[in-house]
Amino acid sequence: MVADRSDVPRQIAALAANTFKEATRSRVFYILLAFAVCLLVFSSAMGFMAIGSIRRVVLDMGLATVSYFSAMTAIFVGIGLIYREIERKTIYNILSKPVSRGVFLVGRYAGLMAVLLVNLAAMIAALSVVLTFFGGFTPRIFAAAGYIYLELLIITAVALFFSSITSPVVSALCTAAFYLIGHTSSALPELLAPSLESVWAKRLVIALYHILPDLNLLNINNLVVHDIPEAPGFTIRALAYTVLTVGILLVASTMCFKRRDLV
Amino acid sequence: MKKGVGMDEALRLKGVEKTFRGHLSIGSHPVLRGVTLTVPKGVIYGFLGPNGAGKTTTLKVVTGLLFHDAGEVAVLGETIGERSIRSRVGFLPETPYFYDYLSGLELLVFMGRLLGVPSPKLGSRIPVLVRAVGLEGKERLQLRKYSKGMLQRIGLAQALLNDPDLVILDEPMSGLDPIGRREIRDIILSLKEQGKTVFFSSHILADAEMICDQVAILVKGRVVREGPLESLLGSEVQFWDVTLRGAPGMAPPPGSSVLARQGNQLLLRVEKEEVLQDLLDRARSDGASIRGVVPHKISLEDLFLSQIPGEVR
Amino acid sequence: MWRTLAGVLLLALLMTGSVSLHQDLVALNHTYPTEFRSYYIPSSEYLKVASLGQRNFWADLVFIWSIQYFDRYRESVRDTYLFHTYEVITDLDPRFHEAYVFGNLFLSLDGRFDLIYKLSDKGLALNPKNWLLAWDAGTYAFFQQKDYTQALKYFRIAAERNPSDPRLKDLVANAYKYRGDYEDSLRYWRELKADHEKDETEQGRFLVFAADRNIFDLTTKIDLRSLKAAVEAYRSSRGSLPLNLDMLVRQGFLKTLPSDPDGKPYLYNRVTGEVTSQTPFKFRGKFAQW
Repeated sequence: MVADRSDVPRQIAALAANTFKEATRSRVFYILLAFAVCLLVFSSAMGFMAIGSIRRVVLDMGLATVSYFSAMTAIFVGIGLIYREIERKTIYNILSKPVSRGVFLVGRYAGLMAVLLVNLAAMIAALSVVLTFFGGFTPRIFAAAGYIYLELLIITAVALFFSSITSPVVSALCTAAFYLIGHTSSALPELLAPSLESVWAKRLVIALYHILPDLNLLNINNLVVHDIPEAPGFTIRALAYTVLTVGILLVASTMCFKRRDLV
Repeated sequence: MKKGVGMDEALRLKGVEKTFRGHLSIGSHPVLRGVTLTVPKGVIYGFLGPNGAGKTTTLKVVTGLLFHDAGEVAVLGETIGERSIRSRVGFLPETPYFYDYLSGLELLVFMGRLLGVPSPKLGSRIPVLVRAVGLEGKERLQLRKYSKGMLQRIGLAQALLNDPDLVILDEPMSGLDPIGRREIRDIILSLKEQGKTVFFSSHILADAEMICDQVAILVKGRVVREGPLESLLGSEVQFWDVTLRGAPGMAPPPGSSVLARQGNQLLLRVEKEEVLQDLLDRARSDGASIRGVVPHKISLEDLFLSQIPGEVR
Repeated sequence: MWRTLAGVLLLALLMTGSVSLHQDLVALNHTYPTEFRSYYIPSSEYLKVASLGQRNFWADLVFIWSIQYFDRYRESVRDTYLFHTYEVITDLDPRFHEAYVFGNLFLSLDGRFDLIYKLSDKGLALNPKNWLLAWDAGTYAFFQQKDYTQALKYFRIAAERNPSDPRLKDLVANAYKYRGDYEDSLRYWRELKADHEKDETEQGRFLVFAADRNIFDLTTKIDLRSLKAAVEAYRSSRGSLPLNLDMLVRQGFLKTLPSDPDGKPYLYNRVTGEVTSQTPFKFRGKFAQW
């Protein structure tokens, strides 16, 4: 029995399924989820304080909660994705099998993305219930959830990358830093560039802005609240960008991990 | 991918070196300083050595978890590095660490899928293996409820899922009670009967002596003795211990020495066979009865200890 | 047991000390001047970045905060801070309709109509389909500030953006009327009447009713105005008041002599030079104050 290329999808599926079981059989996962749902419901209580805009507040707060919480879950679980396997030495069982290191990384990643999908679905379901209660359900929150998922794909890939090269503490810091940078990079063209004198400095800043991902671009919450459709061609470009970025990160992770000694 | 060379060898290491690079203040630490050994197909090969000699490191190099700095490693005739080699090898790591939230069955299915074993084959093999390692009825329990011995057995089962030609076991009998050790020994012997090659590391010499065809002794990152057990130990008797009763005052013949005197029992050690005959004649003539004549060959333990410098014998 | 008690007592003592020191530190307050510390909202440029992409969320938070706290600002600086607050909210979410509306409301309490127009202009520029905001701003101009030019500007925007609501045209017509542009006003009401002649809804019938009354009054006013102008022209050129209105026509100061919408001739007082209508206006009392 020789394992070859055609077994790769099956291997990835097996690794992903195992990762999924690992997460959903841990208490932490359910606690986080329950907490998120509670926060969601309570934050809609804020809606009562806004005269005439209850629906809007519930939607904004709901989507913000979903976004923040799923990002937190992605980071907290993602940073341990590879490190824990090495720490607990369970990785010996896997990499002594005919499983390439790249397949291992992709399998773990896919497993976590499946977990996050379930997580996201649960939170959006809760939000839908709350919204219906406040008379403002719109099927466009599913679109909003879709874009949140795209952002999660990128954040998790970053967490995976750091998890394969360093300890959870450093990973957490670096991934959190990435999250911050991703959401504040719009300050570069809007605040920094205008205040610079030299044209070349301006260009450099703008170039830097385009190299770093601006995760705010994937946020369509405002469009959902005001029920405005996305610009044509936005969806396909957002999808392509996400796939490309995730691809780059996975390849980088594999390259770093391939020659690593597993002591 | 080199083929042809060493087709009848299950495993061949030549001059394998591995140094762990240090961080900051801790210097680099060489662990393997030129490991050379050859494991022919179809044998049970014991890889012995004191703690810290580098046994586990060697096994990790062979299974692709570590990358050696120098030397050659050939598994089943192919140079290491080909992922496909690992599908013909079964590996049981030291103190198997498994996912404790899985059941035994789930673990085997997972490992089987990673090995590329087709589902129907997996379905038929798993019950056979579960029975073979003696875990029948316990496979649906979560691994966190398994005892050490049970973990060792499920580990062995997952190593055999793909019906490998070479089975590598790292300390397979550690932490087991005598019954467990006996069962593992039996399994290893049955693997040999199936035509597989078993390469295992251990520091329980008694077990190794019982089942190994060949051994290698690793000390400080180097193989100091290697070869078939018989030729290493020799068939020569080193000495006899003779117990006599009834002639306490008997003078030991030259070539023998008194080990102990208790009441009217005498314990003597004789090294040459002629001296033994001489002693037995004298004993009879002195009217002493012979209570015991015990021959001692070199034990593996003796050989082992003799290889370790500074050991008190 | 006494040891524990002593320990607890000691702890309580230390806590009192630390709490009161903490209060002193707060009172010293040398980090930021108090006046600005409590009610300062950072500029929207920084808030946009700090919001980490959830701009709507923060717009809502500041909005809720503003409703709760707007009356806590000191009188003298309230309108400035209020305006700034709603500027920030609408920078974070330019489509936040309620923010513009409430902003206008609170600004009107201090009579800062100029800021109302600033805020509304921003909202109207960023939301090309929003007509409610134009209507909102217009009502402040019309009913409170009584600046009919501003009112007209906003009502016209509202009517253009929402051509299907006739009440907006009604407002435009009223704005013209109060501004003294009787001809434009008249034209609007004539159009309105023609459009809703066949309208059987309550709204339609009311509009026709109102249109009729306005058309009546406006026609009268326009006539009276031209008659008065002609009288004045006669007096300044001839030096004395004309004897009757026909003289104005005969001597070329008027083309024709109009009668009031009921067909009755206008009354002329040759002593004072006043021209009046014998049919009373439809709008009386304070509604006729235009």
